[in-house]
Amino acid sequence: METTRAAQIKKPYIRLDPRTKLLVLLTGSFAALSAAPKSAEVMLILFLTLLLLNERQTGFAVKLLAVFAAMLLPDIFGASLLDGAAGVVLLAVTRIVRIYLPVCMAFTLVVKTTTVSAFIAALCKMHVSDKITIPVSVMFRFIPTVKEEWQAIRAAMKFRGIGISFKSVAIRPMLTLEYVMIPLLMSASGIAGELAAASLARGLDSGKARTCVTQVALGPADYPVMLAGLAIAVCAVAG
Amino acid sequence: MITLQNVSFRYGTGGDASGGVREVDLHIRKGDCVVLCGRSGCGKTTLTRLVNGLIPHFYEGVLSGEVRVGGRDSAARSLAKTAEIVGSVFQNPRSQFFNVDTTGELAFGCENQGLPREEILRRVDGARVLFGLDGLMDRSIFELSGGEKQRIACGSVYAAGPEVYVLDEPSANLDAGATEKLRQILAALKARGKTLLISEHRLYYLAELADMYLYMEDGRVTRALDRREMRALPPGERAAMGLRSLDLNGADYRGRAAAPRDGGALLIENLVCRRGRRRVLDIPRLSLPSGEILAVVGANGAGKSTFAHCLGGILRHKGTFSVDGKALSDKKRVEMSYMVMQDVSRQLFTESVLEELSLGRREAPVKEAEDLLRALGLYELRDKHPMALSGGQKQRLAVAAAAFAGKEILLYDEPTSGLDAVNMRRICALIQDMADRVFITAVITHDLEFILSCCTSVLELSGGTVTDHYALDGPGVEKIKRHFLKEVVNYETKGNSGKTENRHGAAAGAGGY
Repeated sequence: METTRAAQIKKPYIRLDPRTKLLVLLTGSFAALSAAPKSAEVMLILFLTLLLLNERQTGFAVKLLAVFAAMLLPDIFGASLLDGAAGVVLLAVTRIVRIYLPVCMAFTLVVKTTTVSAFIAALCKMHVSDKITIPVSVMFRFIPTVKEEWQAIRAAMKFRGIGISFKSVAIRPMLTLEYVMIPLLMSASGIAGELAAASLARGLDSGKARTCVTQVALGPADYPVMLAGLAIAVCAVAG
Repeated sequence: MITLQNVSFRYGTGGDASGGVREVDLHIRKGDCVVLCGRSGCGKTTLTRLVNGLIPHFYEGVLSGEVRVGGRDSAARSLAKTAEIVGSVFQNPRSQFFNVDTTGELAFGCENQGLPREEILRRVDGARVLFGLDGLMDRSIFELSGGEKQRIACGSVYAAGPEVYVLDEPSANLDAGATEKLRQILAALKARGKTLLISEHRLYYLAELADMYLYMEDGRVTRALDRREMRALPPGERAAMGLRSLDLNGADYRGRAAAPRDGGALLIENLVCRRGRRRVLDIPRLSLPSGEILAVVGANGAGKSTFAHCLGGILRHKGTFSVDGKALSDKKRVEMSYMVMQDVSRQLFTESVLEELSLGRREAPVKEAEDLLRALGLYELRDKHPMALSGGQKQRLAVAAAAFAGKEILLYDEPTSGLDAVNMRRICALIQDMADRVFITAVITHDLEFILSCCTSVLELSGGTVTDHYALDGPGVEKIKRHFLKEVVNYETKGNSGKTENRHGAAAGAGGY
């Protein structure tokens, strides 16, 4: 399953430090989960959209922004049109989606736009111990692997006539889950073992202080972004 | 440089101990290139792990004897210390990367040694120049082809500056062009006086490099041959040892003529598949006669997988597929077809071999299933968990499941990557046997020896278009050999200009980008 895209890693318009992105993830999640007023919610989403656009994640940002707008509509107009149980259910569902959208955006911001080496460098600068840095960066490395495996397994399931569809999930959720999880876990554990062997054979566990080739430094753009992140979190809690 | 004295190793600690090596004595001088060969499971990989220190530091078991690399006992030294003098390249390009980006990966070994930043940048640049990695810098590793990944792996090891290189089946997932590129890299390392220990099934690309071949059986080194002796080995004896061909051009046709069946042909018309805005497949018209075993060949990125996925109906595309004027919809083709994947573990879903066959069928005739398992030599294993089977057994089980589900289009994705000659012949027999029962068999492959021993026709793809389609008769055999040699030559001429095989593949096609 070879791909042929000769894509370079996307360069942002303004480079942000991974530490800034981590802070945005933290404050953004906090704000989203703290039952914020609508104004703060909108501010948060617009803020994250801007950051994602800066990292050239245009398609993803626009898609989530559209979903957010759609989820906001029932809140503004729907409540007066729908009465009773249906209205309550609709409101509940849209609000839950809206809580998780910003978290999802902030997480994407951290994971998709940071290289492992920059991430390790940032954790080094924050004086995080290797005991935390290494497992976290391995997890980072694992996300695209799991995605690749997942695509291959879905193809295999289609050929066996046990493809994942709305129907199969609704009628036999546990069985469908089992069909996905067994091969996924098997290949993931195999890869994890090989990955550990490969990184140890290349001296990961040396006990020496690691050098980081990628240099990360807080630039002039980082401080306003951090401040904005904090301000939105404060608005969300206070408002 | 490397000395093993009476070394034995068994995996595991209790009664279930298995595999490993027994009573190995060997001495490798500095600057030598030594190739470990022998059947799958003969202990080649174990020997490489003893040298790079993963045994006993990572894989547990019972070790006796002494392994000295660079004059010191590697069991007494920490793994990270060994890593400074021994660099390792592994078989699976998928799982030997720690980073997501190429440049970070090249620096990884040096970073672990705690070298100063300027020194690391200098070394990474040295690797870039020596291995022609210009087009690969600052890219996502997940978007590279197998060959490009292996080059990054070699470059990364080189940057760390070890004296000894241990490579475990580095060409297992590579096409002919990428293998040639790998050969150039190994030659450059050898020219710099590095010591190379390579475990490998494909021998042809090492013929000019190897100083010594060590043949292993059952965990013992039973024969040592130098380059001349290996070349003088009669083909019959070499085949009996289970070794692959030494000369790509010397392989001869051992397949059989296609059994012509009057089942008509599968007609493909106006097939176009896009990824984003780019056309990755464009086939105006193609007719595949039934009963054929079709080898689908071409460089990485030529559209082989895309073609197979369209044929199997799991990828969205434009165009029609029909048999005798009757159209086959995508849905119908998904029902009819089955792909045996390179990593078969991804397609076994149940808890026993017998259950695997009846998956997806409401009332499965048990007797029929048992007969099929008997025919494929899996009957004794019918109650085992599929994940407990060996690689070859898993492959047979996947094929059995396809046969039992009455599939008519069988697709194989590189079924012989990393197989020795004996297992390759075994999978050939299986594919030929199955081909008699189904409508069409298509095999994506980079393996000329396999094509010549199994297939009946060839489909050459380049840049998403069909460049040739022919039967493997007399002239056809010459053609396919030329195709593989051409792939190699293309690399020799373009190799050092920093082109990647992906770009090369796209440039060859008419409307690639």
